[in-house]
Amino acid sequence: MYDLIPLIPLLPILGFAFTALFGRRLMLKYGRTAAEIVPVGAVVIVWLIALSVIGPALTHAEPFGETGYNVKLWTWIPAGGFNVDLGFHVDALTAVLLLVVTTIGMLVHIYSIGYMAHDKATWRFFAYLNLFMFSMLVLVLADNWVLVFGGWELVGLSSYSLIGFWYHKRSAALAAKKAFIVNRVGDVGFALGIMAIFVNTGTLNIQESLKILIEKPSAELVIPLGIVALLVFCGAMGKSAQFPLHVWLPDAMEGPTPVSALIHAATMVNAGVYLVARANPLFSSAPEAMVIVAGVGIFTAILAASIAFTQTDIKRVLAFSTLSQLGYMFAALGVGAYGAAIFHLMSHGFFKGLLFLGSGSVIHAVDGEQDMNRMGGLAKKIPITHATMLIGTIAIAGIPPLAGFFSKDEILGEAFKFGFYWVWGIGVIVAVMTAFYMWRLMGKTFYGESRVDPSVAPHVHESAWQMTLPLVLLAIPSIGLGMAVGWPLGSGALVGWLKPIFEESEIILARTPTEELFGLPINAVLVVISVLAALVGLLTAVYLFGIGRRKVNQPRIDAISNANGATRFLYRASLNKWWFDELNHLLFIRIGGRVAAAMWWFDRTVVDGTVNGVGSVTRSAGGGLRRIQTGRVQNYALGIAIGLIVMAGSFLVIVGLPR
Amino acid sequence: MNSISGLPLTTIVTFLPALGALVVAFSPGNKPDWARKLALGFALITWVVSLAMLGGFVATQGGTQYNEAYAWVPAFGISYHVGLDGLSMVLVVLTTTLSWISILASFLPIQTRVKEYMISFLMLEVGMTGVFVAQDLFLFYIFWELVLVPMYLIIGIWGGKNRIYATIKFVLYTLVGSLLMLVAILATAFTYAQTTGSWDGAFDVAKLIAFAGQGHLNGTFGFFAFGAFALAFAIKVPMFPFHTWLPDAHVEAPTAGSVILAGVLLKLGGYGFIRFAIPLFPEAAHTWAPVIIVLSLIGIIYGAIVALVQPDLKKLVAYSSVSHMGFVTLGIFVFQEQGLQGAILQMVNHGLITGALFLLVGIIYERTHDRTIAKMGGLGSATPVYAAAFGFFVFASVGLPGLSGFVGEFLTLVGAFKAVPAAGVVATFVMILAAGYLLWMFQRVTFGELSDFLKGLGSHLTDMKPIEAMTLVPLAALVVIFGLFPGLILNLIQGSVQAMLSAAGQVVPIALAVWR
Repeated sequence: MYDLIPLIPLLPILGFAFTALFGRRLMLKYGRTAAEIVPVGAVVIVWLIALSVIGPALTHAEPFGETGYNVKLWTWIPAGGFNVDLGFHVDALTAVLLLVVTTIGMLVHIYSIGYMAHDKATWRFFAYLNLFMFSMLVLVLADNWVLVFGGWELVGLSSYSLIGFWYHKRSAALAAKKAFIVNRVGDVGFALGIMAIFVNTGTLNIQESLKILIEKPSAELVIPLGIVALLVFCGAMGKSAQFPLHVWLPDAMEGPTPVSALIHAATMVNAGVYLVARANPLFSSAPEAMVIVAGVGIFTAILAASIAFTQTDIKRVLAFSTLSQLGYMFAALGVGAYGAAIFHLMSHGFFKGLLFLGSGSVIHAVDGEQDMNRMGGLAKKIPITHATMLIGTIAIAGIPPLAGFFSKDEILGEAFKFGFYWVWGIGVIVAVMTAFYMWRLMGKTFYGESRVDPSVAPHVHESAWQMTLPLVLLAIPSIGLGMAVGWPLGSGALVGWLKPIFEESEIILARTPTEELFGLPINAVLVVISVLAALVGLLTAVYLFGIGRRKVNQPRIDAISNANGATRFLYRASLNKWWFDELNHLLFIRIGGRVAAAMWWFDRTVVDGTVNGVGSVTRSAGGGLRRIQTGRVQNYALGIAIGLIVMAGSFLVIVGLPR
Repeated sequence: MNSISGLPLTTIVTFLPALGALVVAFSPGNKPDWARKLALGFALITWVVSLAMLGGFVATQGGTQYNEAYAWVPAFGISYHVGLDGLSMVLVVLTTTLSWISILASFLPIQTRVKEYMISFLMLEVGMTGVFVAQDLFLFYIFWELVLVPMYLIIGIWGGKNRIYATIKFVLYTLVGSLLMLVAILATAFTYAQTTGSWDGAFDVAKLIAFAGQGHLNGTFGFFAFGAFALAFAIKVPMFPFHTWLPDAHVEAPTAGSVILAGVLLKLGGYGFIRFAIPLFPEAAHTWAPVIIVLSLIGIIYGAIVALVQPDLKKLVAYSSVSHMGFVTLGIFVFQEQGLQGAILQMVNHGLITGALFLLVGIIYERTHDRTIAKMGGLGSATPVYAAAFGFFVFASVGLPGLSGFVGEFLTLVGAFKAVPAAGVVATFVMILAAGYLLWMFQRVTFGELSDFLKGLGSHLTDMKPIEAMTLVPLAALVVIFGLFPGLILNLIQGSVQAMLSAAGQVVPIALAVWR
């Protein structure tokens, strides 16, 4: 039965191949549905197979056990000592990822039937979606580093294709390219990390190599663990868009909205978190690398949150929110709270997927408009979208008992208990900010008076069932996931499932958490602080951006955006995303371009100039050689003859040399 | 097993195209289609023969197979000795495959002097195959030079505007290297004869390598002789700073010429290093290795950076070749198993992928008579099939896992990283640059709205024709097959890899353990 696991990635790639080859013809001849049936069907079947695997894998039933179950297909690269299998490994961590990826993937496929109903090339969209599913599933199922890297790169390709899906739009084409190249920067690190692991351990199998890495005395390691961990983390930074490689994700919103939900919120960006969690014994053995992970994570969290304050494009707000939440996850990984990171990955996947699909439904309703300044008052007109997005917002804000509360609280709690007070402190501030900007989004979109374009306003309508159904289905885990797997705090079901995965790290880290604070149970104190933080953010935003019919408090907002001094600077910094795009443009396009142009000049004038110089000197020196320019074969023979003379001379010289 | 029904298969596979050239020469001059089809027919038969040889090749057996040896100039120990080891086998099949594809790809573009063109092409195939099967240095040299003549004609007659300059540069440049190599060959043979007291086997590759293994070709002599060999091969590869003939030759050559140039001719250099230069002069190879590694790294990074700013499609692909071929020399000169395996895979994959990219550039050139990237745009909507094929090979060239380019590149990097960590680190950065220049080009050519220049072509801007698709489909299939099953090649070359490594002695050339 479990040998069906290879079908999980196989079906989507077959769906991709089929749709890429025949989709266009099917769509022209038999209509949209004909082209959609295979790719959507493939993903639904994959979801069913995955479900049958996830249950036993999470509960460590046979044959999975605590160590996981392996399926090997064939040896992909048999290169001497460098052996790479095409093999899969399923344990509880894989199962969590499978659950998120296949469930959200399937819902996004269904949603896209509605969302892409007016596109000319629906078939191509579904082909790419299937390709993405394949890549992501290979990534999470792979039993060795090179295969992970394979899935990793293919995810990059599918994301490239999907961001640039509307390729005739220049901005989409540029965003796609940017995403791929920025990701590649991280990939260089990851690739080097894999090589370092191989050089250190002589194997590429994930489980075996991790075992060797932590057991081998550090003096015998060719490359220190800290370096290896940071190299792997580089890859994670690219895919999960952590500072300074965060610049691609907001631009990636150029893709159709289902893509933003699937790839740039719920699955692909989780790959980095998964990777670090997968390699947790390595990171735990390199505490200095852990601090960097935590630092980068929490910095990204607050940086992105600060940018989300002022963005007016609904999808960009969500994109920066995603960055910020991913930052939380890395902060969790960095403090050694691996389980909390995976928990947040899971709950964030569901509620952020919901929010993105909801934003897609909004955009669909107002005829493609993405600027929140031209929305407002939509709550009544698109009630299902409004209700589900409200759930998502409360979930992400961290109000109990919704999913986000549990996972976020676990991250902050563990950071505090393990003594990372700075991570906790910044984390709480980010929690305030998150609640604030999310309600800002709700207020500007759904409440107050309508600012919708008068020509569009009469046509505002709730979306088709293919679109609302996934919203409703995603709302369920957004509400209940935390209670289901995260209660009681710190010892929910998820902790038990993931225990074998992080056991090794627990032993290495050997930390005893603080249990009390001011004589009170620490959990209670921290929960109160988290909830207060969320409420402060929410209420401030309600005051400024309204609720129900209450209008946006425009004079207040104007007062803030027109203020002077530090406020003004912060406002402009937020609006301009702290000028990172400008900085990169200067460094890589302006300066880098000059360097490349200078090198080409060097190639033409110096390198080739020398060659031509030698050529013309020879030509004027040897009169007979000049005729070679006529291009006749006879001259070629002459060349040989002259060469032979040279040869004879050198021959004598060389033979005469002492050996 | 190895001599199916006693036929001299090696000779057949080498000289069948020559017979083809002869037949084409006697075909009626006013019927170019005859010449085309005859040439294609002979190339296809040669291909089938090479595949049959591949089928009969025993991968587990070391040394050369399908040997044929006849004394030729016994006084100097020169013999007609041909045979194939795993590496030769792989490269011969690559040659025969790309040859028929190139001939097919010439059906539409070549409309003048078709007969002469086809004869040149078939003779080119003889030279290339000959280089890979020759087991006698003198014979090797003859084939090596034989390659030059038809290529000189192909660029010089059927090339672009600046073809004479390009072809002269190509020939003279290569000739400088190969004449020095001839000197080294003769000097080596002379040394052999002097030491052993007999000319017998003075040009025989296997005997010379055994001779070198006893340390007879070390010291100053080896240093200079290796230098001479290396120069010839470095020019062919081409290594920085000997690469400037390549962009010129590519830009001026007709499409099929570029395909063969990139697909096979550049591989002659890598093959020469592996089969001759290193086993004959192992000590000198180690002495020279740091220089070659550094030049390879410069080539890898520099080629990629210069490719970034190329305004011309063909020049861009040409500079990307400089970058990609840097991996070959890097992989060879770290004297490490994965590195060498990667280098050989990279040779094959570069042949397939870059060959295909040149075909694709040729297809668009057929319609536009222009290759300026700035004038393109929007081909994705105008010619979707073409754009899809272009995208496929662009990502193959970027090194996407699952396609063949990835395995060779990654193995080379692993080998380099293992032997010389700093070199591995530097080379890995090309991953970013390669994505940069290839995707930038792809975006400018296929994305966006159809450019005014292309709009002006009207109905001339057609999507791929079946005959053009036929040249690309086999390459695409091979790219996928070798991407998923690189073992097919790795198993074949295992013997050659071990042979070179044991001849070279597995010594780490430069110890730069930066992280200790």
